[in-house]
Order: sequence, then C-alpha cells, then structure tokens
Amino acid sequence: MVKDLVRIGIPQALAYHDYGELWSSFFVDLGVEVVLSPATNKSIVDAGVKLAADGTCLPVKTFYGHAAYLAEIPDLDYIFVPRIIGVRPKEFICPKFMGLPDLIENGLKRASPRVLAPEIDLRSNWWKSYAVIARMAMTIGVNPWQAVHRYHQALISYGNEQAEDLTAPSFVGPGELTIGVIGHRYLVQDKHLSMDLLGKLKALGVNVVPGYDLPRELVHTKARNWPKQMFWRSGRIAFGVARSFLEHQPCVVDGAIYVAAFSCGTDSMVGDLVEREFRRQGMPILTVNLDEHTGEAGLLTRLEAFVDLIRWRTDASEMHVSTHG
Amino acid sequence: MKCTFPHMGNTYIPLKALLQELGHEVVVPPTCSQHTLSIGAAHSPETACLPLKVTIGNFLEAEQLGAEVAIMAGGTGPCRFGFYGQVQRETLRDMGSRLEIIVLEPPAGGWRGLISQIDRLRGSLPWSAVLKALQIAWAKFQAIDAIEAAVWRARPVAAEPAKVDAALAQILNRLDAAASLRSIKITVKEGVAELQGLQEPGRTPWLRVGLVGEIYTLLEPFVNLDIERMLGHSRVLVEKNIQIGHWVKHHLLFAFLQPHKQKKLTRKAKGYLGGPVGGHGLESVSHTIDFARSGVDGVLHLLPFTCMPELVAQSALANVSRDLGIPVMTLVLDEQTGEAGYETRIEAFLDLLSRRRQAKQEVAAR
Repeated sequence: MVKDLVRIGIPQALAYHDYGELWSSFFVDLGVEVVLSPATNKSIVDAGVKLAADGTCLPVKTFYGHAAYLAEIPDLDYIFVPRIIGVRPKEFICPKFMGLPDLIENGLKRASPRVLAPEIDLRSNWWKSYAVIARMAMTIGVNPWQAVHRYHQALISYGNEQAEDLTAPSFVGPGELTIGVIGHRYLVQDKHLSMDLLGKLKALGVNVVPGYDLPRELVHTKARNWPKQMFWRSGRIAFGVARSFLEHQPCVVDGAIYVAAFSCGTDSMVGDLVEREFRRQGMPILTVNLDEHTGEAGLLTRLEAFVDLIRWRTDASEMHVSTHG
Repeated sequence: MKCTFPHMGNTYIPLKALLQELGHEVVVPPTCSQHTLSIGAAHSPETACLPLKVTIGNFLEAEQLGAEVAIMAGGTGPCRFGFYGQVQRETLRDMGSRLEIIVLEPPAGGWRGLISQIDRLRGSLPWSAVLKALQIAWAKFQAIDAIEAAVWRARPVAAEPAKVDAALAQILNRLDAAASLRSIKITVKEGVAELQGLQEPGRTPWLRVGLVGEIYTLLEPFVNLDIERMLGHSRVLVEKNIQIGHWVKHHLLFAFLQPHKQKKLTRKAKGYLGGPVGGHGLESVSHTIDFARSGVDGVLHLLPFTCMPELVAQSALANVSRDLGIPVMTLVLDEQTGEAGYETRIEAFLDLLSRRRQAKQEVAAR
C-alpha cells in the first residue's frame, strides 16, 4: 500500500514560536501533512528533562520533550528540526540551535521517525538556502521546484512583514504602570515554561510590553548602541529591546523584567550586561531565572514585590516626598 | 604600561615574553587558587561559565599587584568567550576597579579596532622589534607543547613520577627565563632529554586515555584539578589533541589558510554532529573518533558547567561511544567541583578501562 501523504511532525518549541506559522503553511502548501506537538505541559517537560544532558537550558530540555512526543506518533515520517545557524549577517542563534538536530537525533537514539534537518544559514550566501530547500524537498518526496518557489514567497512575505512592522503597535493599556519584558520569545510566550508571567503581570493591573512585539527594525537599530556588536540573535534582540525601554521608545516604561532560562549561555552574559546598564540609569529591573524547579508561588511573590516597588517609587517621585522621611 | 593577562595553563610564559619584548612591565597574576575563584565567582554573573569567573579573579589579583592594563582575547561567536572582555570590563567598572581591559578581537570584529589596539601595545617600537617579540613568543608557545608532550610520555613510565613534576617546574622556569631563540631551543632540547632520562626502561603505561573538551578546562590545571598529573601518577598515558602552541598556530596564524580544516573535522564527525557548533565542540567529537581508532582505552571529556558547544558534543559522544565501543566519561567542572568526588569518579573509570582491557586480552589469548 502506498501512503498518499508525507507526515511531518513539528515540535511547538524554540524557533517554532518565531517561524512556526511559516513552516506549517510551507509544508501544507506542498501537500504534506503537518502534525504539531501540543503546547508545552508538565509531561512534556518531564520527558525532556529525562532525555537531555544535565547542564542544558530549560527551553532545549523542553524541546526534547516535544520531539519525544512526536516520536511516539505512529506513521510519522519525519520530525522537523531545522539547523538554524543564523538569519541575519554576522549573527548566530546559539550553539545549541546549531547542534539541535544532533541533540535530538542522539537523544532519541535514532528511533524512527527520522529527523529532517535542513541547514538554514542566511548570514551570507543566502542563496545557498534555496539548494538546501530543494534537497530537503527531494528527501521527503515533494516537487523541489515547487518547494523552492514557496520558500522564496515565504522569504518575501516575511520581509514585507518586517517593513510593515515599522508602524508601532499601541502598548497603552488600562493599567497605571507599564512594564517591559525582555527575554526569548520561546520562553516568555510559552505559558507553561514562563508560568504565564505576562498574564500574572496583567492580573496585577500592569500594562505589559513584551520585547519581542517591539518593531523589529527599531530593535535592531537600538542594538547597535552598545559598545560591542552582539553576535547572538537573542542577545542582539535583548540589547535592542533593553535600549528601547531605557529610551522609552516606542512607549514609556516604568521598569523591566528580564526573563532568563537557567544555564542559558546567552542570558548569563546578556542578562548581566543589561542589568548593569539598567541599574546605572536608575530604571528598575528584575531578573527572573526559570528552570524546571521554579515554583509558581515564589514567582508571583517576586512579581508582586517588584510591581509594588515601582508603584511606591513613582508615587514618591510624583509627590516629591523624600523617601528618608 | 603595567600589563597583565588571564591565566590559562602555561600560556603565561609566552605572553609574558611577548609583552616584555614589547617594552611593557608585566604583572603575572598569582597562580590560580581557591582565592582567585572565590573573588571571581563573587563578582561574576551567577550562571556564567567557569573560565569567566576565574579570569575575573585573575584580574582582581593582578590589580592588587599593581597592574594597570589587562590584555584579553575576544571573539565573534557563537561561544560565550567572545563576550568575556565586555562582561569583565563592566564587572570591574561596577566594582570601582581602575584596571583597563584591552580586548584583542579577531579581524571579523573590525580591522580598525584591532590595529589601533595593537598600535597601543606597540607604542613607539619599530616593527622589527615587534617581529622579534612575536618570534620569541611563538617559539615559547611551541616549546610548551613539546615539553608537555614529553611530560605525558614520561610520567606513567617514570621510576618516580614526582621527580617528573619537579623537573617540569624547573624546565618551565628555565623556559620563562630564556631570552633568545637559541636559549629557548636549548631549553627544550635539554628538557625533553631530561624527562626522557627519568623514564624507567622496559616499563609500560597501565592505560592510555585521551582527553577532549573545552580548551580552557583542558589547559588550566587549577580548573581541572591537574588531571594530567593525576592520570600520570596513576601510570596512565595521557593523549590530548588540543595544546596551546598548536592552537595558536592553527587559529591565530593559519586559520584563513586552512578553510578545509573545519570541513575535514565535519566529515569525520559525520553521523554524530552536523557541523561546527562553536568553541571546541566539533573538535571534541572528531578527536574522540580519532582516539577510538588509534586504540586508546578510554576518553575523558571535560567541560565547564553550562558550556554550550560542549553540551552539544556531549550528546553526540554518547553515540560515538556506543558505535565505536570506546568508553567516554564526561566531567563537568564548576566552582562546586569537589576533589574527592572527582578523583573517585576518575579512579572508577580507570578501573573499568583496565577490566575491559583484561577481558579483551583474555579473549585474544583464547
């Protein structure tokens, strides 16, 4: 019996949060059936923690869990784990992204389904990626010309999106305070991993500005205002977002929260540099380090304390009353 | 300028020579110790990797000895090392330290920056003097490689391994004092001969163990609890493909002449690792494959806690180990590493290797 449709599983983790829609529509357009892993939950994190090496960061551990979930699905032909080296000139994603397909392949002990790992490197010679896409299409048995065409369209539409991006969305909400959130999209947006940090803040009556929603070009321009060019994508975005918040663009923020993953290599350096800069400029900042042991109650207490602190601070400065009494 | 630099094994010898030849006063930081690590860790970002903490400790200790300028290497990713200079600078600044950090970046970070930094170090010296300084540093880098290799060979078969340690310390002192290319050459020749003389004829090493991993943890004895010495005293022949002179040769000077080298490593690691992952991740995998083929008894993989490239390598090494039948043990090092637990693990690993070897010999004898 000939199977009519190729089935590809996509883990809903890491780069999926940035490019997931693009990937899904790319494969669906080619007549491939796409199976998504569910949104992160406790059993996925637990499965990932068992598979990953000790020092791995929480998001990558979770990615293992998503891949393991997909590996259990019968008749799945491939798990899509692209090897993303970089998407802009002179920047890398992070070493773990570069080795992600290897991590997953080694972690799953090469069980079927196979890992589909096109190497995406748009730093220079971006045209090489077309050949990569064509080769991937031939591997999974779809028309390579069609695949390249779709890929090309996707690149253009993504670029257009960037251009439209320049008109900043409005972040003004009903709350009296505005807090910016710096951190990987795959960490902050994942409600399970971040324990719905954004929702918790909103429940405290705060307007939340997620850094990843800021206009992309603004962020990349601001990122240049640091002494050394950052070579990690997430770090560059964090730098840019941090500068935007410090300079109150595109909106005024009263403080910021840096959401870091424990043992994330980029956060350990970037978070430190950002925190120092905020302290110097006198803007409140809270660093939240997340791992699989983080307790929800403890997180809520910290957020409440931080919000209270900013409230007192703004009240005090508005009333011009010395805090020393 | 009173210059200093971070420690990494014996690299202080060529670096000191280089800066002295350039006419600077050199403050070599005190040998890495628990104190270095404590003060470094106290002021560094919590989850940063171990080398950053130790190097900040080096700088703080050197500043107390009067250093004004610290020389640091840079990078362009994707390993965290590329941002060490920035974090060190900011950390020291917030502590109120006056130590200035000069970061020497590879060309991808901008030629102009590099040239102006080099010009500052050169001062008013003519280029011919700079060339001579580089020659001497180069010779000392290569000398360290040769001496270390001789020590690895000598320790497991020496009548008294402790004598090798004493001889090594003396030879390194002589190398440090050697001021001309000729005297460096003589030091190496005599040193290697002296180390060979300590070997007991007819004696063979108990086991052969390959060392792979992150370069700093491989080179800095304080951080790896002097694993080479520990192994040597257990009569184990150490093999290591990453040495400082070799690294300088291939990464600083000939990197642009050898684009095929990365490809060669990638080809070797095929099936385990798809390409470079920054740092020495790819090297760890392909060197382990080399070691397995050359018939070593086992491989020890060293990395600082949360090291990104080596974590990727670690997952690949599990499969290398299974496919090629070579035992690999990963040792993760951080400021919490306890000596007793570490030694126990290594001893257990060596016992395992020895049993394995015996079993193989028995099978062969049958």
